[in-house]
Amino acid sequence: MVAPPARTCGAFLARWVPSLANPAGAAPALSPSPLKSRILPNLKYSSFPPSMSTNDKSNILRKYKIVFLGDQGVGKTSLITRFMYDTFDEQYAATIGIDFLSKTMYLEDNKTIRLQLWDTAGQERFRSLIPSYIRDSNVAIICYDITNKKSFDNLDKWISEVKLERGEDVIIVIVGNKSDLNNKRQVSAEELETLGKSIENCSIYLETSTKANHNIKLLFKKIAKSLPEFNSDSGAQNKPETIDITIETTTGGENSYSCC
Amino acid sequence: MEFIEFDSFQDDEIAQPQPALSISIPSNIETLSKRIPNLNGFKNLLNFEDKSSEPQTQTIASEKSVESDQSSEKYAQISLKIIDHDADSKEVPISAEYNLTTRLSKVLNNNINDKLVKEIFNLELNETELIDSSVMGSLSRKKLRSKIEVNLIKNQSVFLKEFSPMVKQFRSMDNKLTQLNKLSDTNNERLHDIFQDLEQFNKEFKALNEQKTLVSLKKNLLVNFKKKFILNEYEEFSISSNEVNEEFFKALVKLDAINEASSILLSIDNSNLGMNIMKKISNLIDRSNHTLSTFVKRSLIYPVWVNSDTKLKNFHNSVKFLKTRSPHSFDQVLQDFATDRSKSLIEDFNRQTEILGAHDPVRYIGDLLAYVHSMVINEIELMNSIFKVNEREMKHESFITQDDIKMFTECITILLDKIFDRLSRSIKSRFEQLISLELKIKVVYSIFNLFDLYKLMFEKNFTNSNSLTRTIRELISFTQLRLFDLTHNNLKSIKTSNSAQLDLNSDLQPPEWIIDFYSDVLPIVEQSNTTFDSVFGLDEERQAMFLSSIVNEPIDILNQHIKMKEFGSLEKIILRLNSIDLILSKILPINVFNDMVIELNDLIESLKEQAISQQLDSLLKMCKMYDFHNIINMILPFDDSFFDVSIYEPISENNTFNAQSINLINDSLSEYLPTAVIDIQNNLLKLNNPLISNDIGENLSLSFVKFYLKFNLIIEQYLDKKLIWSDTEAATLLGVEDAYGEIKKHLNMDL
Repeated sequence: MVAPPARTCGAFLARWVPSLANPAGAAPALSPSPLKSRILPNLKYSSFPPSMSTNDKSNILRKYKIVFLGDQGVGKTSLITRFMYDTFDEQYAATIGIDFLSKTMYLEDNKTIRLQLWDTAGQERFRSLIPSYIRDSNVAIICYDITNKKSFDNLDKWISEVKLERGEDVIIVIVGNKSDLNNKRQVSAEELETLGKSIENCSIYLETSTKANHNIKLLFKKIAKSLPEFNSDSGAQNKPETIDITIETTTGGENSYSCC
Repeated sequence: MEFIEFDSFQDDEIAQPQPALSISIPSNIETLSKRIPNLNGFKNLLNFEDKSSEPQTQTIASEKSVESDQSSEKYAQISLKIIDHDADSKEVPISAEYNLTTRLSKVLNNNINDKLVKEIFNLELNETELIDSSVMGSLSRKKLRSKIEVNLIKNQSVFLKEFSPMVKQFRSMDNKLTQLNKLSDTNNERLHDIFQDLEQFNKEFKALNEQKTLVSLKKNLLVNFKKKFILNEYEEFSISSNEVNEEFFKALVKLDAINEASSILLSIDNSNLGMNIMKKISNLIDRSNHTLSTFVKRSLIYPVWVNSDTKLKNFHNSVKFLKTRSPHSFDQVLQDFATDRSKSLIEDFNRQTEILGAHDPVRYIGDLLAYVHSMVINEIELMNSIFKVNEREMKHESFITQDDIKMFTECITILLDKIFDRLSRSIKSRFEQLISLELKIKVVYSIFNLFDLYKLMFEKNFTNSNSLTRTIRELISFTQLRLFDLTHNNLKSIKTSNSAQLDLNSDLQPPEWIIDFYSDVLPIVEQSNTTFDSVFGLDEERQAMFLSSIVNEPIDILNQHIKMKEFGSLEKIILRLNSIDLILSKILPINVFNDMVIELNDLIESLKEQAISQQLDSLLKMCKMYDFHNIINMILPFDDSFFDVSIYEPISENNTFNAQSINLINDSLSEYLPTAVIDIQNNLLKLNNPLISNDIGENLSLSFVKFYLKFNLIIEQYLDKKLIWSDTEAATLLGVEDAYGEIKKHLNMDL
């Protein structure tokens, strides 16, 4: 997937170490281990230094940009917080501007990916910033609140925004959050399914509960499966930014665990 | 009598064997038998050692002494045992020793009375003869004497005979002892020789030992010297091999220790040694610093190693050692790295400015800012991944201390500041260029909003002193200035614009430029006022200045344009009223304009007064009352609160104040007043605001009627005539009868 040159940060992506051919592996299990990896910058060099060993080259970490979209208060930040730290804060605090968090995920068969999570503010005041962040994203997670019909109705607007910026070169994920509040439900699971099937490049749609920690890991596992590196169909298109990561075999097993 | 004293012991005291008794036999030989009645027992005691070898002695002893013998033997054996086992055991059979001593005391210390002595010496004395003083007595005494002597000699002989075996034994013993003495002497001599040899040996041993101590001291000194001042071959190799690993750092630690301690070598006698060592160490330090510097520099060019704990640890150690040993090189490496990174980022940024479409400046700047945000995030992650010391690294044996961790954190801050400093300048110049080229206030305001939002985000990631945060703040100020400039320039161009002047035409409507100007400015003022604490986040003074400029400047321009037009005075007033009323309606909903609203209301009131005055003059003229209105006002202006006809008596002196003039006025009134309302309405028809129009019409009519009333009273007083209509009728004709009725109630006149 390559974004149109005029609207992408393609040059920015290209200057990261180019991605290496990667055979599609079996379905990876996610193993969050935030302390393990470090990031290689967008080096100015177009290729590896001659001295770089094969081992170095084989540990290229792919970086994927995931942008979280949706109306105010649907639970975008709490979704990220649950995924990152496995915590849930009852206290609501509106996001200011665009927040950034990143997480390295260790997958089975020694594959590692780096997820850059861009958390957008739902407030109208910050709406003008969001298109610039959708522009170079690999995945757009569009959230709504199952207890708020309006937030579901506004999904069309968000999907249009994503398609306007990225066309078909993006994975759209629709997430119905707050599934623990079933008694206040205003949007049925069938409505989500109908919408999900109607969107062309939306292969993932599911309901989650960040409070009850329901379907969060499954969500990111599904996203990881659908990412270009692990999807043989995607070929060389939409190469993600790449980051070198070398995992020492001596300590490799200690901090990784399967989350799914 | 002499007594031999023996120690007596208590039951619980430990008794030791006593030394052999020294009995002065020769000197006391005559009295020995007296002294020692149990001599046989004593002899047995003395000869107990030879009892087995010489059984004949036992035959001499009586039955009593046999019993005593057995006891003595028993005691002697106990004593021998004590002697034999003295070395083995300090414990002594206390009861046996005690018994021996007691028995000896009994034997030797018994009292012997004279009777017993007589019995011992078998003396049959004839005391009578003995005491006879004759020759017989003398003979008897001599005889006794010789008898006693014989007896004594006999006894002595017997006694001495008993000692004969002992003498023999002593003699035999004497030979043995002599031999023993000889052997002893020989042994002594040999011992002496051995002692002398030993002494010599000891001397030599001591000397050698001292020598050995000196040698080992010297050896230790040399070993320590070697340890402290000389690297071994492996360590030298580790430093010289250009390979940066654990061994290299261990060697560096030693090298630094040698370097630190080597100055003391200059103080020794042979300073050449110190000089040589210092020279060698200095070379090694230079070489190792070069290795470190090259390693750090090379590592920073391609930081593909950051996920290898070992490589990361080596890098951190290298940074630590380089900073400690060669701060200048360290600063240079960091500076080079920061320069490379910022250069790379600037190239990326500049390339991005070319790639992104600039047809929509707000989106273009928004995309660039988002790109900068990504760069910032990536750069922070990169610096953390390179310089942050992780927990795993600290768990193992490490050269890194808590101070070093602090140093690494400072490194990150310094590097980010340096990297972003240059990038900030590029960003700033590019954005300033873009903003300077933008002419639309609305667009510049949107850019201002973008900067303000990014300021919030950058402040979350950086300190206020960071160059990027600073740059964003500077860009906000620049945008504020640009908004000022654009507003001012816009008005300036309107001021000199012919088309703006042409906008003013006979329809007396506000010019288009006013509508356009406020359509541009006011929405952003309103929006910024709701978003920020003040307009564009300006301080109070600058905000007041800005608000004043966007209200007063257009009015000034309008006044200048009106002046240049050939409009009638009422038209000019109406045009101004229409324009100001429009401005007022625009600014009225925005609360920051409250002060300006008051000012504009005052201005409108002033213009209304002018319009009323102008229309009143016109009405008075049409009714031929204008001159009298002036004369009366010259005498004393009318006041609603007080009126007295007598005050206006001077009017009767005026030539024009006569019945003929009043007749003319009445003719005019009857002709014009019924249609005056239509005229007034026609004149004010172009006033956009009906309230203002109504206000002007009503107020001028009331003013007219109030004058009409007073003028009528004056005419009545001084000409004895009346106007054609009463004041109420006039008010009715002008359509203000109700309002006038209300006013008339409060007029304080002496009617």
